[in-house]
Amino acid sequence: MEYYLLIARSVTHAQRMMRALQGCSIRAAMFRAPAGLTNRGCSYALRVRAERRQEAQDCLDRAGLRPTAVFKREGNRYVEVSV
Amino acid sequence: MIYFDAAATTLEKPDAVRIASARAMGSMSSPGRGGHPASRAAEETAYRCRCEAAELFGMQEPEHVIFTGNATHALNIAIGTVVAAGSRVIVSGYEHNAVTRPLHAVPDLHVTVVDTPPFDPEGMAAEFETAISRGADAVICNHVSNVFGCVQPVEEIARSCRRHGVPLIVDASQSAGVLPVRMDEWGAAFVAMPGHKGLYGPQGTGLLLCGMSAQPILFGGTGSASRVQDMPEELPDRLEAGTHNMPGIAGLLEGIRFVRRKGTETIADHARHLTRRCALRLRELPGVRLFAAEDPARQAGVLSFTVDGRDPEELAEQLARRGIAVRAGLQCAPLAHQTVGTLPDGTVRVSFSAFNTAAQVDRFSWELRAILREKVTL
Repeated sequence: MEYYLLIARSVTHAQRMMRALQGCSIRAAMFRAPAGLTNRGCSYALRVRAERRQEAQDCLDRAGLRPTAVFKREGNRYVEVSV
Repeated sequence: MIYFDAAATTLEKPDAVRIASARAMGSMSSPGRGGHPASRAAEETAYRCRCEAAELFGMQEPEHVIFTGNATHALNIAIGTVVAAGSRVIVSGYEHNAVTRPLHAVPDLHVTVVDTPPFDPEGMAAEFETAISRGADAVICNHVSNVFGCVQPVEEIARSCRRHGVPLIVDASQSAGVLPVRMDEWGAAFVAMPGHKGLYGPQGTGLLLCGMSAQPILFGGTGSASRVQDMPEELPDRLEAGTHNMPGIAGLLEGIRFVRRKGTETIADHARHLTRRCALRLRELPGVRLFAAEDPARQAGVLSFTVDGRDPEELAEQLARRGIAVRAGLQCAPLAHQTVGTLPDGTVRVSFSAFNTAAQVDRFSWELRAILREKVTL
């Protein structure tokens, strides 16, 4: 399954993003982001299905909760895409 | 025991507070520290607590609700952020040592004290406006005096601060959970409060509501941006280094829910009813000097008095022997006593929670009457 990771600034930011997506009827899962993904160390991320990624970003934009970065899962690696 | 010391700590808590704290001890680790169920449970509880607090205090952003150890901790962060050496600071004449001591520690401050009489909000608001218009770097005011229970004109002071662009710090230690605290409406820089008084949480909890970014006083791990050695810029992580007090936060969540279910208006009405009843009873006693507002809206559930020829601490001791807990002396607010003229002995203070009853007030006044009939023996 193709999916995207939306990186949060903090666990609280991730929780707010999660609630906002729920409000837009978009399913997401929150979890600790892979350690090497950002150069800042520990962080949290939301995983959303590829087909709902744009919708998710629009929803978060409206809520003023833009992720700090977005990664696409491609095979065994993550590729950063523009926010 | 009849416990009339809610202004220090509410002793009786809703059952849900005790249950939640005990449960958290065995099931929650720390928010932001792992993907396992114990960390996730802590994250969820902390987040819900921030959201409930944000709702109660009229805030849009739950991440601007910061967990602290108590109101003093919160005030130290707030003061450390907006006050620097040489600052011009305006305070009310009713501030607690939690405000005056952090200020005392800053060199070369120019402090203006607005020392209007108690229960005169119009006079205080006018004095603040005059002082602020002369120029200030920060204004600090409590919402309710912890000694005299007078409700301070925070809305008007906040308006003056907004008009002149001066950051306002509100000490809501005696008002959180009792009176409306409207963070966004006030436009305050910070509002500090304990969790263990009117919010009915456990001791060791407090909140700082942030209207601006703040300087941390504690540096360390936050579970975020671990490779970066500066503290994170974003709230709440910037101000919450180290492991959270999850039993405290879980209990505080239930305390805030209790307050929201009951409603601050209902709680305030109850406290005012008890305060008035107590004032009526005390007025019947010989030699009692009472500090009570004519208009009940100007006083929260805190009432101070003195008795001619009697030391407040001794009276409190005698009441304690009869099973009544009150607070006497300076209540950590010598400035308030200086303003009202009750130095050096201070007052006897009674303060009420949602769990106190009119019958307890009657019993208290009966016991005090009996004490005052006794001969003074030193």
